[in-house]
Amino acid sequence: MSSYIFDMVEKCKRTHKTSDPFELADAVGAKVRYKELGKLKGLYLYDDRCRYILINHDLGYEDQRMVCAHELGHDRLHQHFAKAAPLKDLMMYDYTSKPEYEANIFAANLLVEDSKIVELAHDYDLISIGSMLGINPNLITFKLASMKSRGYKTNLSETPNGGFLKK
Amino acid sequence: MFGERLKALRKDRNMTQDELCVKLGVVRKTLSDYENGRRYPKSIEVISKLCEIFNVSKDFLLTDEDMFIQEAKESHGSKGSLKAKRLINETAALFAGGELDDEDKALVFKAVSELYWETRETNKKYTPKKHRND
Repeated sequence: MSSYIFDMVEKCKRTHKTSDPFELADAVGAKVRYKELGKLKGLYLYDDRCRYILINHDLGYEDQRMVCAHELGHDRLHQHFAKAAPLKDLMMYDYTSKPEYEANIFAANLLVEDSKIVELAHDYDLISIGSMLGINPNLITFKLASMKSRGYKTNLSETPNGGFLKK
Repeated sequence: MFGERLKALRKDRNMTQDELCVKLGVVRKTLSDYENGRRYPKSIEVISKLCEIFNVSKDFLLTDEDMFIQEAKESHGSKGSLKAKRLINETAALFAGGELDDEDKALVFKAVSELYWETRETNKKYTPKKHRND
């Protein structure tokens, strides 16, 4: 399953010749908007042929990048769900529901290269890899889970810690 | 919401339904339906008349959601208001988990309604030329 999402990410990167989530969102025609959302980090909304990625404008650049990649995952994988009801993201590292889990796998594969992890996994632990790449360690765990399902072997534990970033 | 506010306002001014419906120019059954939420005023005139009678502003009588639907109706007709209603219902489903407090709900609602207008603006290009009026 993860490999199917991985292939999709690779295809997106190839066709649009970018791996930046903001540029990619623009290329696939989803509109990125920054709004005040309170506790909500991001929202994916479908309204009458228009696809919106809403991002909380209070977040820092790195967080916004992660939220954008995650919502882009919803755009590529769950448009049909969004047509029934918008997809909200209160905490990003939720893996309790399938769409959220899949969107996280998408975001992790988009933001982190396999080779980076292979390179760093020998010498550093999860937290330091996260801070080195400017990505939340919890998202790295999704990346590791995805890599493991594609046959990579790493010495890092890949159990995501659920309530880690719950505000 | 609209009904509850209307009823409270009427009680506050010591009016009976009979008195109000004569002033408003609707039958008593209609007024009763407004108050019990079985029916919603079809036209903006009824609402502006109510505002005149009670000497209050529109946003006192209407919630943000009601105002939004009214505005959508005025500028895009019944289809526009239908879409607005659907958007509100979808957004309401979003709040079902109870993870968001009222302040956040208001912010999200504002953001979503702003996007509604943006969508309408974008989708103008799909209107056939003979139906365009600008």
